Amino acid sequence: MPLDTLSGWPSAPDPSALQVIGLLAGWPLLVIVIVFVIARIGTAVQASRGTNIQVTDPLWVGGREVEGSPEAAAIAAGERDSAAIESGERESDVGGAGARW
Amino acid sequence: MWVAPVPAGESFTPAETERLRRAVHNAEKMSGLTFSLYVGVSEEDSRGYAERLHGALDDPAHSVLVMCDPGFRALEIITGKEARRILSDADCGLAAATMQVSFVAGDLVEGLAAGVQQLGEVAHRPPTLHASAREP
Repeated sequence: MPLDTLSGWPSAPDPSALQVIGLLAGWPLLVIVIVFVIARIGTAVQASRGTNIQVTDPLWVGGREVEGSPEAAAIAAGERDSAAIESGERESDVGGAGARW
Repeated sequence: MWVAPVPAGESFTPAETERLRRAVHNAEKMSGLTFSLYVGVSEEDSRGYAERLHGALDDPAHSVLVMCDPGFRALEIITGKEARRILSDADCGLAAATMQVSFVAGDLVEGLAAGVQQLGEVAHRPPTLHASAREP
């Protein structure tokens, strides 16, 4: 496609096929690759931030804090049933769900 | 409903801890159940560990415990005998799946908050109006 130029200006040379392909395909491809790399880096940083959490200090929200209490070690070790189990609540009475990731 | 003073874990910022507290508070307000959230180290049998923690709560029958162990990548939701009537295992499974998606993406806090919020919403019981009730 010949390029139009303003009168009085020197005529612009026609772009080569390689230049046209670079403009129409190369640059968009480059932009897509850059965006993809940035997104991957962001996801990787976010994922590493989330999975590297070192739970040195357990977090309790709501209810009674069991961890740290004198009975916690025994309960966690399974040596002693909790107060609720002693009062009649069996494991079959509880429900819920679990997941791994 | 009572929210215990939270020992701010070294792993969480105050804003993140507050976000989790608010989610637990909202869930309790909506459902009338007691929600507890534990993020820490468990053991290989995470289910058994979570059940023992749940059993040690003040009122396990009406309590829901969400336990998350980032190290073992384990999530357990335990519902007490009475809580289970309102919050079915299937509902818990859906909430667990919601949390799992966020955990995979690396967003632990958002996943926990969204999951607890979802549990509270599912367990929400709107007040019923009995049209056939006799007026005094």
